[in-house]
Amino acid sequence: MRWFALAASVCMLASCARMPPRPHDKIRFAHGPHLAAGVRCLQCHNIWQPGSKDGLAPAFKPSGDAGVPSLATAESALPPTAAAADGGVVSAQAAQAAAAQPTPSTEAQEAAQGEEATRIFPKEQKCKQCHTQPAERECRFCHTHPEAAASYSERDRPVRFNHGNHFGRGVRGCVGCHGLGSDANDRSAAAFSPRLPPMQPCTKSCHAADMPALACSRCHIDLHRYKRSQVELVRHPPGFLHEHGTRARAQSSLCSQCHEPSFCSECHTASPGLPAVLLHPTEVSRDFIHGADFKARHPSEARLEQATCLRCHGVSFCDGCHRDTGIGGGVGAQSPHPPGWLDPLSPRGHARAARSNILTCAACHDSDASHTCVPCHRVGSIAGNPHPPGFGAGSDKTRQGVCRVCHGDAR
Amino acid sequence: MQERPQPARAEASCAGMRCARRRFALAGFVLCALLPLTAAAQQAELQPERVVIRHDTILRYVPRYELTLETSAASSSTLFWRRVDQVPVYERISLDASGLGNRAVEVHVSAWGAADATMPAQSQGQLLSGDFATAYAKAGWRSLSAWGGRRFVTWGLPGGLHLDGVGVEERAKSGLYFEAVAGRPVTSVSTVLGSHSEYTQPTVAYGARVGYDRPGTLAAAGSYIERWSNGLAANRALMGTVAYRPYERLDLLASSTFDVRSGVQEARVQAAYLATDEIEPELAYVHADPRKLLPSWSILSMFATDVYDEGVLGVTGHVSHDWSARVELGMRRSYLPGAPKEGAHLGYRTDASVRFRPTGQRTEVVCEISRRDEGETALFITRLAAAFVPYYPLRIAPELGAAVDEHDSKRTALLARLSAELPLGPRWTSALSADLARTPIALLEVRSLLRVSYLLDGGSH
Repeated sequence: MRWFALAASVCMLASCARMPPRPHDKIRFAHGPHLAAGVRCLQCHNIWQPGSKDGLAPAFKPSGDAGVPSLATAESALPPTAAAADGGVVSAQAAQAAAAQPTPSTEAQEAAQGEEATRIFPKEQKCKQCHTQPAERECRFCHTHPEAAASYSERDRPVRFNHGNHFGRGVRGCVGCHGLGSDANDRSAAAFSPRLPPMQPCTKSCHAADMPALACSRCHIDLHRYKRSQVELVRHPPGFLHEHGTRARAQSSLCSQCHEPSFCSECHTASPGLPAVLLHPTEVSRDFIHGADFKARHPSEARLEQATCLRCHGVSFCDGCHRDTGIGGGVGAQSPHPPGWLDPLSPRGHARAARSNILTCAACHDSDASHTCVPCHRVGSIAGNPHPPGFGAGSDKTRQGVCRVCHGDAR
Repeated sequence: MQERPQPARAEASCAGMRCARRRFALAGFVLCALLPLTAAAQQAELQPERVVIRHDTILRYVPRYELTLETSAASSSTLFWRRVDQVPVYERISLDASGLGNRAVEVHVSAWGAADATMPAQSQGQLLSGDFATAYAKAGWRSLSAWGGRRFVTWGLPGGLHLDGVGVEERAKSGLYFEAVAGRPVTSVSTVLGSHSEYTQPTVAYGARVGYDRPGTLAAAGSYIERWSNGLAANRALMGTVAYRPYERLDLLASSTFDVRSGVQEARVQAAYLATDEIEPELAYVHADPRKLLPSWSILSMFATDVYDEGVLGVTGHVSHDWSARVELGMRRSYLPGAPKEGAHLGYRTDASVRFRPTGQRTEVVCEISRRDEGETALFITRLAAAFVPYYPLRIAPELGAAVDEHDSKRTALLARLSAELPLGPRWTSALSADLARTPIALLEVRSLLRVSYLLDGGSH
């Protein structure tokens, strides 16, 4: 039955894997031809807020006392303007319309009339101001999948970034970070495609402390979109495995930035049926914290650090395995007794075994009842009074050997 | 050969049938919960933003040992062992799908199964085994989310808690969050093919956690959880954790678990200082009382055990991005509560490790040396493991290891291992591994495994 359940699970998961890819609409846009046609960055990426003291939209306001750059500063170092791209998406009419576009200050006037000025990405209406031709008004002109048309979502942004906080901190305008796009060798505006800047300039300067703190979520909205190899820039230091539990309890959201829940369940399974060591045979850390053939020496380890074992593994972890193999179970890792050995009501309890054949006990315990039996089977101890009701009346406890085990001093 | 008593086998068989029925009920519950979700996922609106599916098939050869009375059995110790060769086949599949249902739903499933038809006589009828490691679905609406299924709860109890149940979570943008969980703790039973969950004991657990999380600066949480079993409150644990960076070079970490009835179960306080970009010294104090970690229904909780306190001094060196090293010295004091002070004994441990892992390559070398001495037992452990790509895309991973019991040389264990991994296709990989080992039981032991894996890492992203 459980195999049926597992098989059904496999089928279910396989059906997930076969799901047809959903058309994901993207806005067809090339920066280069627009730049070549004379469109400036800030004409579309509106950062101007009417009515505010410094003219910047809230999303672009510097949080510190950094100065507000001028438009020329913000757009400095743009690629040299080239002739309009002949094969670009920008028509001559659109280029003329772009040249006639208002300056950012006029943009601010438009914003005052109700247009949302805080979004970094322009609305469709903005495009239509230049793209007036009928062919350019068709949905397919911009949308790759018009049947599932969608606007650019803020959630698609890979990072949280406040441009205003970074102006005036040595950033050389828009191109200072977004320059050298897809074709770094071609310095013409028509070939320009903005890039997302790499992390290193951030993590080598102001955000250096965020790396060892693993404070990825300060900037990254979701690291799950990356493969593990892409985020290996962050490495846990040696010895991290031994303390990862404490850190995971304190900052579980920190771990889940990169690691899926199934990553934890490779080791932290409720029932450790499939050892994690089998899943990654060529990883040097395949043994997790139990390196160098731990299972072979686990009796020594358990004797050495019993507290450490129990901090991660409950009592049933040891008992389960020892119970099945007949090695120990219920008593301790070193004991060869079956489960229920200490339970007086169990059919495998030691009382029944001792009564049926005490020699099997003596074979190992060397008739040393004073150390094996008496510590529990004495008056006032865990096993209580070993004498049945009425026992002992008239017996001479100095003459019977078994009595002398406890009452040896009664001579 | 020592036969097991028949009543015990019959009892185990009955318990096994009951257990199988209950596991099937759980599997059915999980499937009932997941199948509609999967069907809905076929709709375009539920196309996952990201889905990671991994499937492993592992054929393993491994000897198992049982105690025997046969004096002819080979052994390096005073006990006599009988070797039982096993060639089990393991299957494991895991799925992580996020961004379902307009990015509000995520599903995580991890399950394994095993079969061994090679030695049915020695397997005592336990030819099949399997279980769900994780199986839950989580749905979110704004800052509120809820989950149901089997999940590993990292907080509440030392070592965490696997729960078949439900939970809710509220995470405010300010960093404050609240979590509550309730359900049945997963209890497992062992078979020769690995343990799986079983439901023979009535048990329940519930708890809640409140915290504040601002990654990189401050994370603090306090939780209370109760676990009941057989009518006994096995745990009533208060846990507090704090991770704080008062400034960028100082990292403080503290965690403690307090049982309401018996006192502090364990505690850890740690301070790491990033002196330079290369050197990071660290001080830590650890306290553990293992008897209090045991649930009160365990017979082991009746016995007195040592309590220990440990002070740790560690230094981590980030020599370069490729090289790192760590040296750690721990001084430990173990004592039996209530015993005379002279019963306390001191021990120590020293651990050193060096790691080389160049960026952008699949090469890695790790060397670890450890020595621990508790006065009565001393272990010296060393391990050298490497992985490199001699002929792309073949990856080779040799490993040598030794564990020397300095007070009992018969317990010395040696290991030589060679593993190789070769991609079979864009999403398929194969791996082979062979071990030669000397263990306290066997003078020479051979193990091997063959693994074939499929990994799909996709989605609409």
